[in-house]
Amino acid sequence: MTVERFDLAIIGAGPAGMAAALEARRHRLRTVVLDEQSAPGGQVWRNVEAVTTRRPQDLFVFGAEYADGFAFAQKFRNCGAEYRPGARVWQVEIATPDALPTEALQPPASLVLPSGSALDTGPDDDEVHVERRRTGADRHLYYTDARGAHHIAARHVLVATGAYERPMPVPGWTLPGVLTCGAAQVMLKTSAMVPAPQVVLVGSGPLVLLLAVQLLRAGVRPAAVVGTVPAGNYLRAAGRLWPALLAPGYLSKGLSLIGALRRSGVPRHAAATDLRIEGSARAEAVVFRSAGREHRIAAQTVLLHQGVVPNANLWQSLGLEHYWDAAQRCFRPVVDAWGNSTLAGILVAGDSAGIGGAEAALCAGELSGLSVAWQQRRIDTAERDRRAWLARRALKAHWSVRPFLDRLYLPPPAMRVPVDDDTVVCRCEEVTAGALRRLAVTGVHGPNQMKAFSRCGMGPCQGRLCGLTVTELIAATQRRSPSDVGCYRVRAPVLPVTVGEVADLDRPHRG
Amino acid sequence: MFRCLRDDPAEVHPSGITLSVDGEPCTVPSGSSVAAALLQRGSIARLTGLSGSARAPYCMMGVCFECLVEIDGLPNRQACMVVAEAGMDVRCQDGHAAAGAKPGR
Repeated sequence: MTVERFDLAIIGAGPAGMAAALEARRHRLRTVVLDEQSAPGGQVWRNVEAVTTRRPQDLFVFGAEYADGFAFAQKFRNCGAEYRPGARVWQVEIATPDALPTEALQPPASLVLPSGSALDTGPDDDEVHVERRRTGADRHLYYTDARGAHHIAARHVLVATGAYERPMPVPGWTLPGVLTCGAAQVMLKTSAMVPAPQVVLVGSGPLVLLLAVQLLRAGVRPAAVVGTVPAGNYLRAAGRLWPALLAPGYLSKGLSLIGALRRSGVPRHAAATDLRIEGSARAEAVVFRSAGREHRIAAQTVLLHQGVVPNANLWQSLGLEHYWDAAQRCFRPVVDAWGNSTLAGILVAGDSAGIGGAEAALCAGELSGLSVAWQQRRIDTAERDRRAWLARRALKAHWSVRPFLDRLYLPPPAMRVPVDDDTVVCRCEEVTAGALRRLAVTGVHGPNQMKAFSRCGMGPCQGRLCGLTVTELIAATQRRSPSDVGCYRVRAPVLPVTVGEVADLDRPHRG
Repeated sequence: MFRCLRDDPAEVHPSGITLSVDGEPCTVPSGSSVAAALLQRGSIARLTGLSGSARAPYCMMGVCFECLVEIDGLPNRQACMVVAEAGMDVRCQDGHAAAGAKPGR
């Protein structure tokens, strides 16, 4: 059976993936978009088509920005890209490594250096390097959908896998009834369901505020909103306020959410510390210290959130050059201004390359689409740059709010690495902070050795929920930088796959 | 626990999907995941293999793998990534008992 071939394969149909597909189709690239959800939109516009057409009365709950996603999803559906929903990619590989000139695997000098901002891009073109990208062999993608496992090939691959919520390893976080704020939003968007009766929101970041207000609009009154932003963060963020003012709309949006929450009269607690969730079989209460005393709030549902981090497993499995972003406390791939990674033919755009938000992801996706069209000689350099001008300017504006937000909502150390030894860090293999710290003291080199000694990161989530915690725990215990400690070596398949699925690859599928 | 946004189930479930969770019927709006049914009932997804502690849906977006359940006899399905279908038989996955049956654990 011949393998289906595309000019561009995009993984993820969120803002970055959809924008890239639209741009690629403008230049008639044969484009396929693989997305694990059943409808386009990513997490931010999750289920927006169904909400808009089948339950428009709920749109006010989510706000105008969510509603905007409908028109975008429609444009995406009509752009001519081959859209495959329910497709979960578990491996991307270069056909045969020796089919590439070896120097193509070396990072070019023109790439962004880890200087903290994704936009300190330096010279963005290195014709020689790009020429190498053009000569590369096909990239191969393996994915599973409802019909089974599939194998396709593409000249370029764009990883646009978005973000997920940063783990918040506090005592009791594995109890049933403890979810993330994002999970509650998924329930609201996809199932029109709300937490009840007694729900408490805990943590930091724009999503806590947004969800609290969305729940209020939906008629659910949280018992409390417990903030975990340390007082010192306000001071640290203040210095970055000026550039943030140039970013369109972010601060006014935030202030209006804070205002709505304040007017609602929902009890709010600030700068909470010593946070834990109590309960025997399920969550029963949130306990914390705030304003000098201990609080205990009964709760059947506890919604945690402390920002989002790149959904990195897929690009990590490709072995892309990456670096530790000290402001965002996460690993990011080294990419140029167009999203080109250090591996020929592989691009990363949107939040999976560093948290910039949905608006920035739209711009980044468009730029990646342009770069691929240019690399495949559909447009010349002048046209690419002319078309890129607006998106690049907008991208820069959207990123200018990040230094402020990153500093304001940086979770305190005790919420990133548990102080309490009994707190579970690796939920899959039930490895506690104490067990990891004891090993770290003995001089474990890094996360991979830690994995071999403790089984942390070996469960079905493959380190997604403990990776950053383990890196920071080793760094803190051994007084090293997270950059030096490094991260798990992620290998394909990045999702559990059955032997049967692998055996069925390249066999014609029924129906 | 989660409940439907509107009190009138007919309004919420014009095309509701009824599936079985641990042997009991449960109706969720069409398009919902199996995990939504678990959350509506307040059900446990699985007992961990190591300590037997109870776990329920946590991230709802396919990242945490806490909501692994048995669906129509097939174990280790991510409930949050499987769209609920009428007549599905969803069961809590007892990883502890399964692991206990093996030597060495």
